[in-house]
Amino acid sequence: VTTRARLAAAAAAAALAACTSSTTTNPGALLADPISIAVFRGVTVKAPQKPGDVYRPFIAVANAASNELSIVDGVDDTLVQSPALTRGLVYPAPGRPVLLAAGDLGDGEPDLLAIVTAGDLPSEGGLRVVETWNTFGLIASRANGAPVVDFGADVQELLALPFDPAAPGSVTLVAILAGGQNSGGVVDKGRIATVTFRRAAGTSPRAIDLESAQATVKIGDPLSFRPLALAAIPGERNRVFVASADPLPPNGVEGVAEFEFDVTGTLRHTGALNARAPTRLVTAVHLAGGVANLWSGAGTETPRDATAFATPPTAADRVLAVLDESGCGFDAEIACGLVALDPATGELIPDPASIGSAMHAPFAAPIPLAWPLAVAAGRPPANPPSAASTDAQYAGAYERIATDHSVWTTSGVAAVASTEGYLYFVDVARWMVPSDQPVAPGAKVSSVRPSGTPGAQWLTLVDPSSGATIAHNANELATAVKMTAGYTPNDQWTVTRQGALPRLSRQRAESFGDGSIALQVTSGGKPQSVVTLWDPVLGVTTGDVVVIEASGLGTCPSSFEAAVAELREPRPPEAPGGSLVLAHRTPAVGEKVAARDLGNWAYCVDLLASTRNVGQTGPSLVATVRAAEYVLVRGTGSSAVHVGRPALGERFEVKWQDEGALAAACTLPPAKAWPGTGPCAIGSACRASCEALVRARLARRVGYVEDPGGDGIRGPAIAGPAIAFTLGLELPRSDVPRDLALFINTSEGRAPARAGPSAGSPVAPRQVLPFDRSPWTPGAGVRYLVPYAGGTILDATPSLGGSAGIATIH
Amino acid sequence: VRRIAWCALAVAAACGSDKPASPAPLDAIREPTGVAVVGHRPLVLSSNADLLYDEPTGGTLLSLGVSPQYAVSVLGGVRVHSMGGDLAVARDAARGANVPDAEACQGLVTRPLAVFGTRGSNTLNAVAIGADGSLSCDAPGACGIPTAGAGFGDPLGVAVACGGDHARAYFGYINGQSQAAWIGELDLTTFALRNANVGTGIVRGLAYDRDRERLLLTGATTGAVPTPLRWVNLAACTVGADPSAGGCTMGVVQLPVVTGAYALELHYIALANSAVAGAPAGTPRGATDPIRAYLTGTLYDPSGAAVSGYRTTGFASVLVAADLYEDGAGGVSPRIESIYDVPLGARDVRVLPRPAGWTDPRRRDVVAVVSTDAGALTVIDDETGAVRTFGRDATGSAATGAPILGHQVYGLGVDPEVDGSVAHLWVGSFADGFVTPMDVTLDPVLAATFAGGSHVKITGATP
Repeated sequence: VTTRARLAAAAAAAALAACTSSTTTNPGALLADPISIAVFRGVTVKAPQKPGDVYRPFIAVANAASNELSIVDGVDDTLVQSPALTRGLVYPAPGRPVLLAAGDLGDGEPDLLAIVTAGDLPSEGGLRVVETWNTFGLIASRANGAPVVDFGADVQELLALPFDPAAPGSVTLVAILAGGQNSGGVVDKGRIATVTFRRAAGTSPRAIDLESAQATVKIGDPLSFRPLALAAIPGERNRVFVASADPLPPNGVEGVAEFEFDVTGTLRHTGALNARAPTRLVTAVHLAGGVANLWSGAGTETPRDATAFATPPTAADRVLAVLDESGCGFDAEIACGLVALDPATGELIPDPASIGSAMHAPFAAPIPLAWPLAVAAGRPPANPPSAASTDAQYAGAYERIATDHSVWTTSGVAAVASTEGYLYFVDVARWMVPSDQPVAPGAKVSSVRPSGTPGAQWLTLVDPSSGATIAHNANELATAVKMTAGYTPNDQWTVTRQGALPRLSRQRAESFGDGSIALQVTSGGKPQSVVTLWDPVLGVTTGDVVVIEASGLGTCPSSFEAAVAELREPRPPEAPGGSLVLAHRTPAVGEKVAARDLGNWAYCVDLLASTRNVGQTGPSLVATVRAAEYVLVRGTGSSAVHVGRPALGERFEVKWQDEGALAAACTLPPAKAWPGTGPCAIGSACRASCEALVRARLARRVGYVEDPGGDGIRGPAIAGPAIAFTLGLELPRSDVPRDLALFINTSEGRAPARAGPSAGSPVAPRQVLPFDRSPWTPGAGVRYLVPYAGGTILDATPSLGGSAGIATIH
Repeated sequence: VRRIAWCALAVAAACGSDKPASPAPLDAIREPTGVAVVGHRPLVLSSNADLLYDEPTGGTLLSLGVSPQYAVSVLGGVRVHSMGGDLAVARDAARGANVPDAEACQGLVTRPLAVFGTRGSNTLNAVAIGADGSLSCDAPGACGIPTAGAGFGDPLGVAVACGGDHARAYFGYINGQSQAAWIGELDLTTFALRNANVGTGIVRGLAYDRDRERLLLTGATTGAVPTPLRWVNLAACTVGADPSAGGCTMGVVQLPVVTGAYALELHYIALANSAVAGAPAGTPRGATDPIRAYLTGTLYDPSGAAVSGYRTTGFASVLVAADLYEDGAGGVSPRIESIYDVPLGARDVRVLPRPAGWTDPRRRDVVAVVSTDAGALTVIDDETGAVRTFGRDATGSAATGAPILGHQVYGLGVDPEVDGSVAHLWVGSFADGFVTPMDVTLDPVLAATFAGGSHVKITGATP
């Protein structure tokens, strides 16, 4: 090869490289722990506007791990190319940026973009401002180099209030400040502060006056509750709502604190909205189009279109809060999830079922979501998606929620991002997550025999209409399970012959030498690993089987069985969880036990009754409590809960009923925290109430549906059941071995309106930010931007079904 | 012939002919992995992880005397196997406020003990600490205890568990066949070792709940399954035996926040100060005195892990504050109270001692976390939510951008005695081989500064 030829080849390669470089794919966003996001209108190298221009929106992403802000075009989600051309535009943001907030000053000039960093040395803290009026996007300081605003405490949350249309040119930020220790040793759990930024004089693009902001800082009183999240009703400038997991003064209400500006311009705590549980996330929405009349007439479905709303509409406000799991759920009076509060009444919105009906609840049920991590509500778009006359309604007062196969018209949308990785869209006006299909619960039923089980017996169900027993492997098993839309959850229900009660397998036991045992281990005189047998939630009752594995108990076999003759109440300090008085076992119906075994068991029960091993000073004992006959359990593993004892040939219902009366009559869990407040023996009205309360809470409403009956049939409102069935045996006269099981896997039947990133890892959504893109792209509607720790950003709208409404920045 | 000679030379070079065949010096810190504080003096475990020195004598445990002017002297030192892991201390006295924590072993041990394992060589060590800071392995069988395990090895995590009649240390082995979880129980009076399989998922972090006689465990993920919280009920039982023969019962539960795409590999765990019984928000069912646990973890993509069988991503780190309730069946029911975002690579977590003025038992603790990847220390007041992060010299006109605490921050020692309202911390840098003393002011406002006012890098004895 000659030198000339090599030069030619090199030239060709260089030319090819040049061509390639001009057509390469744009660099990725290279997000590194994106933790906060904001949309601001201003100038960048992409859009160095001139006076009179409308400022373009940009998305700013705080990358906590790389100490920079990524800048993305807010109109089309494209990266703004950096001057270096090797990656998207970023602004250096040293000190671990963790919070962003943008605010409109209402004067058509660039927005405020505030940034909070976690610290680093030398720690200066405070609030900084990105120069959105400058194409270089510098993070500004005051003239003396200090942060633009120093609150004197960590900023934990930021919220921009709407500008005042009557006096444009300023914007107020609300901040949650970390608390501290007062001089008297009293803990101040936090404060609410405000700062106002004003426009500086000059020519467009006009700067924000950074020097004057510090003087506008107003810091409220120290709070006795820890503020966790902020919200304001869109369009309102005088009120702020604050989520807290602590009881709220003055009455200890749990829910959302309300703050209002006083005459000095300081936000003061003025009241509380009662959510019946602590809260950790909050947002607010103004329903200009009013609230939908859910089930407005007896037996009528709720329309999906605008006819669901009154004409003319009556506007309403809603404060939406995610309940803190420390005070909601099975053990509390309210299930966990997203709740709606009416700031006008200070209470949860009412249940739409007519008062006096069996399904009427004292408040609208929370919308359950896996584990909400962020929530936000937007306003309907400013512009309709198209010029078509049918689209004219989707602006100002109403918004469209489109699933793959249906379209809903609503006056308010909230978006909730959960640990599942999805963003769920809530129709606030109807208080439901719209479903892409009619909500029709379903079930899969399977009958299982443990391996090695003798005989050919199976557990099965009875056809409710014919009364005939269905073959254990027939498809008709599913139709023998009664379910109710809106009540039937996604879960597994298991019926087991003499099944072990949840969490009561192989527990260490102590015998008191008086015929009773407790499931505990006494060490150093203190019972440890105590099983609260007296707790109705565990489901232990007389007649249950106790399988005891013993080591060192005379000549007893390694395992023998007894029956529960009595459930004794707790006797602290020796038996703080209660105890079981044991009796000889007698076989259950259909149970075959050799006479010799029964004799051995009786001998060992008697021997155990005279043996004391408290403090593990005698034989080692392990006990498993099993049902005498059949037991129904909801859930699996550590979340399994005892439901009840279905009997052969008898319909068994798990059905919600008003919990108030049951909770009042029950002095033990789940109504009261363990150890409860009074006697509640087996057979008493108290314990019956507790057991009924367990079933009611396991059958709580899981969502509202269009159909008031929840059964797909237009008819009177009914309440459940979540599940009902009649248990049967395939071979009635045959033996019924232990641990025969029937698994019923129920599904809610809702195909929820939701969106997830089309690329990247949807791990740990950090924030939901609504952004109305309709002024720039009418068809795009209101977008919800979600940064994920997984390094991706979801950009989704509820108004376009399927993939059309989803974009991903990554 | 020349080729053969060159090859021989190359092989000799590759085999480390430039490595000094010598024991580690007893006056310098090298690749520290464990830091603890006894009698206000830092103990530093150097790992010699790159095997610069001989493996059997390349690791050191140094007891340092630090003057108010930060002149450093070595008060005691012992050579141990290389690849030391975490470091814990069994104290011979309760803390100043008579807090009966898990490391308060008075009446059970005659001298304080520094407890750690070494990987590769698979030994456990309980080094005695003299009142003058001297270190010794003079107790028969106290150092170089072989773990002698089949199918498991590499002890790394450690927790001292004192209480009742027992002084024990528990180790987690990070090498287990088929990802089996193994722990070792070392009796700190007889130095007898008992190993036990406690399920699946190698054990990384351990903490002992003295009040409930329960060992809490965290560890690596297994496939798509994020790390659960495990426990072993240690009351009046024998680890490794079947419960029917007097063995201990065990349990496992997933943190409730871990669902769907939110996968968390838990690394370390620390428990709130014993004097704080915990005040639950709301009216939960169960015991009225949950203990608050602080757990560090890495968020990752479970779908990728399901394919690979192990964690393939690590997007961000969190500190989870969870109240551990009794579940009514001898186990633990965790409730998430707070999730704090912390810099990437969060590992060690320590609960700082409380000032004397913090008499309200409902007052939550201040917690410190080190993030190895980011090279950062984060201090969090769990009561007020105040956070201080130290990673890089990144702000101000004189910012250098340098890692303040060195690269690969690893090892966090906390003086158990609070000095007025100031807690003293010692933070190790694995890659740079030094320890930084830090002061954290707990009251009235959380603040943290370099001890002495400027950055002191302790690399060993002051020349």
